[in-house]
Parts: sequence; structure tokens; C-alpha cells
Amino acid sequence: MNKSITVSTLIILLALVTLSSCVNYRTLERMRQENDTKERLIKELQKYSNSISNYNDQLKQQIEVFEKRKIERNKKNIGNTEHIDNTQALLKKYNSFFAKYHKYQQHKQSLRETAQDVIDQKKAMLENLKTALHELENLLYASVGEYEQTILISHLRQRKLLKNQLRKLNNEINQSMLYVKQMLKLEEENLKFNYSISRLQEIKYNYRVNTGSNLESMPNFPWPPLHPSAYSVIPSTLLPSLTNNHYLKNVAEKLETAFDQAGYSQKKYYQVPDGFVLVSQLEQFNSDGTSKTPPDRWVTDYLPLKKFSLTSYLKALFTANPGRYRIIAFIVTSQPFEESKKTVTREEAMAWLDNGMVILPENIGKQPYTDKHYCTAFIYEFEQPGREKKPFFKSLSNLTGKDHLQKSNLWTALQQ
Amino acid sequence: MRIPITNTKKRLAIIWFSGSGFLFALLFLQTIFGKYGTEIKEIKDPWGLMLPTFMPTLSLIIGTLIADATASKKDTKEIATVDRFFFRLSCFLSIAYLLTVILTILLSPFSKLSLLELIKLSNLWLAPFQGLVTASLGAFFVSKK
Repeated sequence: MNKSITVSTLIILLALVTLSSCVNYRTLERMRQENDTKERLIKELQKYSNSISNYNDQLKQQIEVFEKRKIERNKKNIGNTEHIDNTQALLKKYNSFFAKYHKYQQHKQSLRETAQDVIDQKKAMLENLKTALHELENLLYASVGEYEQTILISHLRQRKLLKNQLRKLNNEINQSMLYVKQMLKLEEENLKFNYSISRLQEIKYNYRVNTGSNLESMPNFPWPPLHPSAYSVIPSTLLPSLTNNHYLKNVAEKLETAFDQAGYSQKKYYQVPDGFVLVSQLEQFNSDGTSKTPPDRWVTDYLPLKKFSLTSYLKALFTANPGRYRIIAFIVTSQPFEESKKTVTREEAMAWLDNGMVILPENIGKQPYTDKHYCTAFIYEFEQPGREKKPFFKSLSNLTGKDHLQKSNLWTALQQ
Repeated sequence: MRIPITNTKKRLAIIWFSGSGFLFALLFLQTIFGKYGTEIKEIKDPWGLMLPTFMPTLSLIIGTLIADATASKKDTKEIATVDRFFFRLSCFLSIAYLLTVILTILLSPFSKLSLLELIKLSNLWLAPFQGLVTASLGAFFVSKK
């Protein structure tokens, strides 16, 4: 009995143990599975959180870009609004102009109508007179006897008068028609003239606003240019070519470079119609046209003999050795001109270097260099016979303009 | 030591005629080649200033020489003599004076002043010089002792 109880208890215990172990195993399995799922879930959550943070960063970047674009758009809008305001203002102007033009058209129409009314009235009068004439003629044809003849004569007289009146009325009608036509023409021309004036003023104003400069401040070269001692037209092959869309500033640079290479350090710019003038400083030169060596070249006083050679000494001893001076001015313009008959004194020519501008203003430099533009070198030569004598302008130089340019090395510099 | 005065006169005359002749030739060539310009008024000025520097002395010398040449033999019995030192001094003064006048023209190309201005200014240094020269020559050509 006891053995069976113990065996049964043992069996029961075994069963319980196995059950518990089974249960524990299952719970463990379940727990492990739950852990696995938890870990998986955690991993997925981390992934999601990472992706969310990435999306957040991207969103932030997008927002920043969007903000920047918004600011830029606002700026453009402001510029656009300004531009829109300007164009709207211009549109208003044009609208007001066209409103005026429309009024003028209406006025013209009313004038036409009134003229037409006058013409119609006169035509009606004419018709009435014609019918009266017809009636008189009918009376004329229907007349019998002497009494009728006197009436006929008076009727004929009246008819004559009526015909004259008719003729006068026709003339008046024609004249009034002509007058109306002339008035209409004059009004149209007046409108066109006013429109072109307003347009020109607008262009001038816009030009000043855009460039911010006043053309009138640049000093003017005497125009037409004063009579030179010699001149030479610079061939277009020595100037910037026309095929490469050059401007006047390119021509100015070429001339400045030529002056620098030839030793002229000081020069000034002046304004001329549709171009400019570049003037050199006064220099002394020898009788053959070559420039004296510096510093004698830039001395404006009469110079004694400095370097001894028998020939130069004998020449200086026995012959008059006048001082020779010249100023070279390059004139670039598209306007044809005839030189003035007035001449210049040495002091006036030297004053050209006191005034004038050192560089070419941008508003002139940006003007296109066209095939109508040409460059002329004007040489103003002065001679001083002796130290005690005043220098005078030589109206005709012993050298040609090209000789002056060649001997002063300007021609060679332009060819480079 | 004393030397005959006739010899000294001749030597001084040679000096003066040579120097004056050269000076005259310079002025003449300058006038011909247009140094003084082309206006007659301009040309008269330098001639009017330069001629008085040598012409009076030359006239004196010529006059005395002619007078000596035409004098009778009776007047020339006693040979006049002069101290050699005095003769040499007169020669030196004459040569220096003529050189100064000639150099005024020859050095004018190197001057900042014009030739006419230099000639006008030359009176400053020639006037005192001229007095000494004239006095020394007077002893030779005017005095009869």
C-alpha cells in the first residue's frame, strides 16, 4: 500500500514536474518569442525613427530653400512691382495721351459734322433756289401776251440774280470745305508734333536717369574746329575694325596708346557732335619735323644751342633759328565738318590742356563706332622767330599732316 | 727799352683792322643769311649798336696814318720812340677789347638771350673797356711828342 502510494505520488510528482517543465518550456518559448518580437519591433521602431529624422532633416532643408526662394521672390516682386509701377505710370501717360488723341478725333468728327451740316444747309438752299428757278421757267413757258412778257422779263432778271447767288453759294461751299480740310490737317500735324516732343523729352530723361551723368558738363571743343596748320585723315585700317562691334572707347584707347608710345604723356578729351577730340600737350620740334629730345621737347620757351656741332653752330650763328611748337588734336566724329576760318594763338592752344577731361566719359565711350565715324589729325603749329619776339600761329606748315605724324612717331605707333 | 713809334702804330693798325674786319664780316654774313630778320628796322638795330664799337678807333688810326704818310721829311728828322711796355700794354688792351666784342657775337648761340639783347647788354662791359683802349691808343696816334 505504502509503495503504491509512494509510486503514485512519485508518478504524480513526475507528472507535475513534467507538466511544470512543459509549462515552463512553453512559457520560456513564449517569452523568447515575445522578446524576439520586441526586439524586432524595437529595431523597426528605430528604423522608422531614423527615417522620420531623415525626413525631418529633408523637410527642414526644403523649408529653408522654400524660405530663401520666398525672400528672392519677394525681392523680385518688389523689383517687379517697381517695374510694374513704372510701366503703369508710362501706360497712364500713354493712355492720357491717347485719350487726348481720341478727343481730338471726336472734335475732328464734330467739325466734320458741323461742316457737313453747313454744306447740307447750303445744299438745301441751293435746291430751294433751283425749284424756284424751275417754277419761274415754267411761268416763263406758260406766259401769254404783253403783260406776261413784262412779267417774263422780270422773271428773267430774277433768274439771273438767282444764278449769281447760286454761283456765290457754290464758291462759299467750296471754300468752307477747303477751310475745314486745312483745319483738320493742321490739327493732325499739331498732334504729331506734340507727341514727338513728349517722346523726345522722355528719352532724354530716361537717358539721364540711366547714365547718371550730364553730357553738358564735358567741355566742348571749338566747333567747327579752328583752322589748322596741317591735317591728315587717319586711315580706317589704323583704327579698330568695324566688324568686331567696337565702341568709341576702343578708338580712344588706340589713340591714347599711340600718344603714350610717341612720348606724349599729357592729353585731354573734349566733346564734339557724335564723337570726341583728344588733344596733346604743346611740344617743340626741329625744322625737319622730329620732336626735340626731352626735356627740351616740353619747354615752352625759346631754347639756346646745347649740343655743339660745327654745322649746328654755324647755322645758329648765321641764320635765324626760330622756336617751333605744335599741338596735335585727333578729332573722331561721324559728322562731316568744314574747318573754321578762325585761327588760334599759342596761349589759347596751351589752355586746351588746362581744361578738358583726363579720361573719356563712359556715356560717350559706350557709343557705337560705326562706319560713318572717321578720325582726322589736326596739327596747330606755332613759330617764335627769336627770344624777344612773340610766337605766332603758322597758317600753313612747311610739312604735311602725315609728315608731322610720321616724324613725331605717332604714325608708327598707330600702325602697331 | 724804347722802340720807334711808327712801328707801333703799324702794328696796332694791323690789330685793329684785322679785328674790325672780322667783326664786320660776321655782321655782314649774319645780315645776308637773315639772322636779324627780314624787316629793315630789325636789321638796323644791331648795325647801329656794333659799328660805334670799332669805327671811331679805326677812323682815328686811319686819319693818323694818312697824316704820317703825307708828312714832309723835315718833320721826321727826330724819330719818336715809345716804351716797349706801354706798347705791349696797348696791344693787349686792343686785342682784349676786340676779342670781347667778337666773342659777344660768337657765343650768342649758347646764350638764353637773343643776339640783339646781348649786343645791347654788351655796353655794360665794353664801355669801361673802351675808355682804357681809347686812352692808350690816343697816346700813340694823337700825341706828337
